[in-house]
Amino acid sequence: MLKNFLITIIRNFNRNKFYTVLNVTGLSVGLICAILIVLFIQEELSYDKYNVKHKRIVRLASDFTLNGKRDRVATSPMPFGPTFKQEFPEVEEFVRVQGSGRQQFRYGEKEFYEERISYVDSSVFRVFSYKLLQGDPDKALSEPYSIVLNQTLAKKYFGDEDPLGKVLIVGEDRSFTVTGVMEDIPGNSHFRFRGFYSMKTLEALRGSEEFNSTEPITFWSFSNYTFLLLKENSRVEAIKEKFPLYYEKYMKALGDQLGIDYTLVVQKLADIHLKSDLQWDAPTGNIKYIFILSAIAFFILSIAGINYMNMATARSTKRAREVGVRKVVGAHRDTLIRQFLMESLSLTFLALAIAIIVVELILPFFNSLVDKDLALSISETPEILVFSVLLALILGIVSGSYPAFYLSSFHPAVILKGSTIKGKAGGMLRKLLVISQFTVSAIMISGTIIVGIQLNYMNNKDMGFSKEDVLVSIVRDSLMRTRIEPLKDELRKNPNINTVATSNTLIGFDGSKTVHLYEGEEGMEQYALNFSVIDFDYLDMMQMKMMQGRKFDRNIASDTSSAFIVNQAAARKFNWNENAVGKKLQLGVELEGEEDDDGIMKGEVVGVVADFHYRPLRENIEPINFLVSEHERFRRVMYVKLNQDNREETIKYIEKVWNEFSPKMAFNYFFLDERLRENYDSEVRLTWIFSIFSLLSILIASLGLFGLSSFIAEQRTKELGVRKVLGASVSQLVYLLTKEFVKLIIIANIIAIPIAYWAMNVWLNDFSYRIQISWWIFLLTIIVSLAIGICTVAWQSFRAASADPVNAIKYE
Amino acid sequence: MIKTKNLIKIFRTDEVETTALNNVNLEINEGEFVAIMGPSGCGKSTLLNIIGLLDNPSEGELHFNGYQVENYSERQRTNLRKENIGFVFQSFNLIDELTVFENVELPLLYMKVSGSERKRRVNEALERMNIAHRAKHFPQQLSGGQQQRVAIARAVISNPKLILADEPTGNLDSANGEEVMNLLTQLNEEGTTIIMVTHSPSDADRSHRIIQLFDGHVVTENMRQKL
Ligand SMILES: Nc1ncnc2c1ncn2[C@@H]1O[C@H](COP(=O)(O)OP(=O)(O)O)[C@@H](O)[C@H]1O
Ligand SMILES: [Mg+2]
Repeated sequence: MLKNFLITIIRNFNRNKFYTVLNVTGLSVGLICAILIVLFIQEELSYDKYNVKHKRIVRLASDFTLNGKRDRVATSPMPFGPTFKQEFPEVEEFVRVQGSGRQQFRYGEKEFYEERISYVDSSVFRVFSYKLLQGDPDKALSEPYSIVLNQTLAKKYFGDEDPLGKVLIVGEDRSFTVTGVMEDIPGNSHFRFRGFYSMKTLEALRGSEEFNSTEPITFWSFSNYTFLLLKENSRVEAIKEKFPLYYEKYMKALGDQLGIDYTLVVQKLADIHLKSDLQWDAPTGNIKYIFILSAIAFFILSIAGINYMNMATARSTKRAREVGVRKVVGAHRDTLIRQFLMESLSLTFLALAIAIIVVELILPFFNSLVDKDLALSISETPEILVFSVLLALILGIVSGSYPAFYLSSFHPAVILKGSTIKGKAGGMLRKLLVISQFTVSAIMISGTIIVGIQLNYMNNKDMGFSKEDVLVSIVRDSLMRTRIEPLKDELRKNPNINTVATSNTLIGFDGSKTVHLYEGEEGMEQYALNFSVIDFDYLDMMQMKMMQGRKFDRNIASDTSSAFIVNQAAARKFNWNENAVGKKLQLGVELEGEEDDDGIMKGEVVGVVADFHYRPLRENIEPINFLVSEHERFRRVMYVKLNQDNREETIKYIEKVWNEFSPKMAFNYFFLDERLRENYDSEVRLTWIFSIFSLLSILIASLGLFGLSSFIAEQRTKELGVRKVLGASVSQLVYLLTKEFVKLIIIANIIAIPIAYWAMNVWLNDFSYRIQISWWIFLLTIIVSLAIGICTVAWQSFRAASADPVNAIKYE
Repeated sequence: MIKTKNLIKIFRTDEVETTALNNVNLEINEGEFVAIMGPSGCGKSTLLNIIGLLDNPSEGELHFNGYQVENYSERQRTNLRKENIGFVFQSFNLIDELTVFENVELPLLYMKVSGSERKRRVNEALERMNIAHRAKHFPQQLSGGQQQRVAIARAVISNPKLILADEPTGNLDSANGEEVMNLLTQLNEEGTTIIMVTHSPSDADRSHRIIQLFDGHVVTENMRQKL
C-alpha cells in the first residue's frame, strides 16, 4: 500500500512538475525563513547559559531616584561585593567587573588599541565557565598587574611564542604580565570580554585603604558591575528580601541626607541579555524582537502552507477521478486521507531538505547581516534540526489536511459519471486564503517602509550640533593632554582644518551626571543634572546656537571658575525660561562632615544653548550643563572639523602632528557621524530582517498566486476561447482574469492597514523622536503589492488570453 | 441476490428537485445477466450506482445477498462492495498515474492481499483479458478497447459475485465492443452475475433479461431464455 502511495505521489509530482516546483519552492522558502529565525531566536535565548552555574549567578544593579529623576543602572557600588558576602549567608562568591575603555597595547613592535578588557576579581574563573587554556585559574588574577588574554589576543601579540610571563605595555607605561590565556568567550555572552586585568591592580593603584573602603560615600558611586554566585539551594529572592536590613546598616544615613530613594535590582545572569533595559549595560537584545520574529516566522510558514492548500484544492478536479476510482474499488475515506497527507508530507520533507541545504549556504551572509555567529549542524545544534523536522511535520499535516479532507470527501457516484465537478466548493476559501497571504505581505511591506523611514529620520535629523566632517580622537596620552592648545594651533595651520575642540565626554554617547543646586523660587534646590566640561572652541565647532546670553570667552578669566551654559531643557526645567542668564547654579553639594569642597563649583549661568541631541533619538533631550575648562583632566575627546577637500591628506597631516606630540600613543580616530549611526545598529539590523523576510513572504505569496492564476487560466481556456471567437480582445480577457485578484489584493491591504498601523506605532513609541505614520506609506504598500500581484497574474492570463481560440474550443 | 422495494431516488440541487428513480421494484438472481435500457436521463446510472452501493436511495429498501443495506454507513458499504462488486464504466476510469498492472492491482491493495498473491492474480487476470503484454504501460498509451479490457480485469480481480457495467461499449468501436461483450458473457457463463446498462440492442441481446426504464419507472421486463 505504501509503495502504491509513493508511486502515485512521485508520478503525480512528475506529471505536474510546474505545480510541484511552485509548491516545493514556496515551502522551502518558508522553511528557510523559519529555520533562520529559529536559529536566531535560539541563540538569543541561549545567552550566558553556557555558564554551568548560570542559575546561581545574579547581577546587582541599582534603581534610584534623586530629585524626582529616576535612573536605573546596571552597575552597583564597589563595596557591594565584599559586604554582601559578609552579610548574606547565601553568597558563595562575588565578582566585581570594572571596565577600562579602549587602551593601547604594546608588545615589541606591535601596537594596537584594544577594548573589552576589564578589571575583575580573581574569583571570575570559579563563578563563570571561562576556560583557561594556559595558566592557573586560582592564581592567574591574584596579583597586581596580571593580565589574562583570550586566544585571539594572545595570538595577535605573541604569535607562536609562549604568552605566559610576557610583558605587555598597556596605555602609556603600565606593564602587565600575562598570566593566562583563555578560550574566546562565546558570542552568546552579554559581556564579550577579550581579557581580564586583575582587580588587585586597581587596589595597588588606588591604595589598599581607599580601594577597600566602606565609608558611606563609597556606596553612592555606582562604578562597577557586581556578580554574585549564590550557594546551592539558596533562593535568589532571599537577597532582595534581606536587603532592607543591609541598607539600614550601610547606606541609609547618607542616602537620606542626599535625598535618594534606592532600590536594589537583582538580575539572573541568563535574563540580562533579553530582559534588562538598564543604563550603562552591555548592548542587550530585545525580547520584543523575539516576539516580532516568531510572529514573522509563523506568518511566513502560514503563507507557504496556504499556497499548498490553495494549489492542491484548485487542482482537485484533476484528482477527483482518482479519488472516485479508488473509492469504487474499495478505498475507505481514511485510507485516502492518509494518502493525501503523505503526499503533502513528502513535499514538505523534500522542501525541508532543500531548505537545510540553502540555509547552510546562506548562513554566512545572514550572520553578517544580523551580526551573529549562527551555525546549523547535527553536532552543534541537533535541537534545531529536530525542531525543523517537527516544523516540517506540522506544516505538512496542517497544510495537507484540508486538501485531504476535501478531496477524500468526493462522491464516487458523482465523479465517475464523467461530469466534472466544479472547483466551486473551494472557491470562497481560496479567496480567503489569498487575502490572508496578501494581508501578511502588506503588513510586512509597510513595516519595512516604516522602519526604513524611521531609521533614515534618525540618521538625518538635525541633531542640534554639527556632526558632519568631524574627526574624533580620544586623547589618552597624559603629556599630550597638557599640550592641547599648542596642538590645536599646530593643527589649525592646515588650511583644511577649520576648528579643533575638546571635551571630557563624547557627544552622543557618554555623559556624567551629578547633583546640582539651582536657583529656584525659594532658594537653591537640588537636581541631578548632566554636565559636560568643554573648552572655549567647543560650541563654535559644534555650531551650537545660543538662545540667550553668550558663549564662553577666553578673555573673561572668571569663565573657567564660575560660568555655566545650560540648554533650553534646563532653563525650562528650572523655570528660568527666558531669564536664565544670571541665575545661580552650583555643581556638587557640600556633605555634612566633609571638610574640603573639592568638586564643587559655584557660579552663574552666562548663556543658554539651543537644545541638541546629546543622546540617541530614542531618548528625550534632558537638561545639561556646560562648564569650560582647559584642565588636562577634561581634555579626553578631541574633535577636529575638516573641510571636504583632500580628506586623506588632512588625516595624514593630523597623524603627523599627533605623533610629534605623542610619540608613545598611536593616532586613532573615527568620524562622529559614522559613530553616531552605530547608535542605531539594532534598528539597521531590524530593517534588514524586515526587508529580507518581507521580500521572502511576498515571494512565497506570489508563487502561490502564480500557481493559482495559471490553474484558473487553464480551467477557463474554453470560456476564453468562446469569448475570443465572439470578439473579445486580448486585453479585455487579461482584464477579466486579473480583475478578481486585484480585488482580493486590495481587500488584503485594507485589512492590513489597521494592523500594521497599530503594530508599528507600538514599535515607534520606543522613540522619543519618531516619524508619524502617514497615509502614503499604505498607498505605496497597495501599489507595491498590486504591482507584484498583477505582474504575477498577468503573465499567465496573457498567455491564456492570446492562445488560439480554435484549440481552446476543442479543448475538453 | 438483489432485491429492491419501492426504491426512490430524489436529487435535490439548489433550484430543482429531480426524481431519478420512482418506486423501482426489482429482483435479480445470482448468475443472471441483466441489461438495463432506456432513454438518456431516465435513471439507469442512478439505479446502477445504488445497486453498486456507491449511492444511497432516498427511500425504499435494498437487499443485497439477503442483507438489508440501504442504511449502511459509507464504511460498511465500502467493505461490502470491495468483496462483492466489480465495476466497468463507459469512460474506463483508469488512474492515469498508475500503470496497467498497478490499476488492476488496486482493489487487492485495499483488500490487503499479500504481494506475491497480488502479482499472481493480476498477471492471471491480464492474461485472461489478453492485455498482459501491456502491463507496464500507462492507460493513455492504450487504445480504448485495451483500456476497457484493463478496466474489466480490474473489475474481476477480486472475484466479485456481481459485475456492474455502465455502457461498457459506449466509447468503443464495434470490434472492440464485441470483444468486451464476449468477455462479459464469458464471465457470466462462469457464474458471475452481471448487470449492464446499454443503449445497444445487440449488446442487450446477450442478456437473459432486459429491464426497460422510463423516467425513473420500470416499464417492461423482458424475460428471455437463452438457448
Ligand atoms: N448528482 C446528481 N444531482 C442532480 N441530479 C442528478 C444527479 N445524478 C443524476 N441526476 C439526474 O437524475 C436523472 C437520471 O440520471 P441518470 O441516472 O444519470 O440517467 P441515465 O444514466 O439513464 O442517462 C437525470 O435527470 C439527471 O439529471
Ligand atoms: Mg448514464
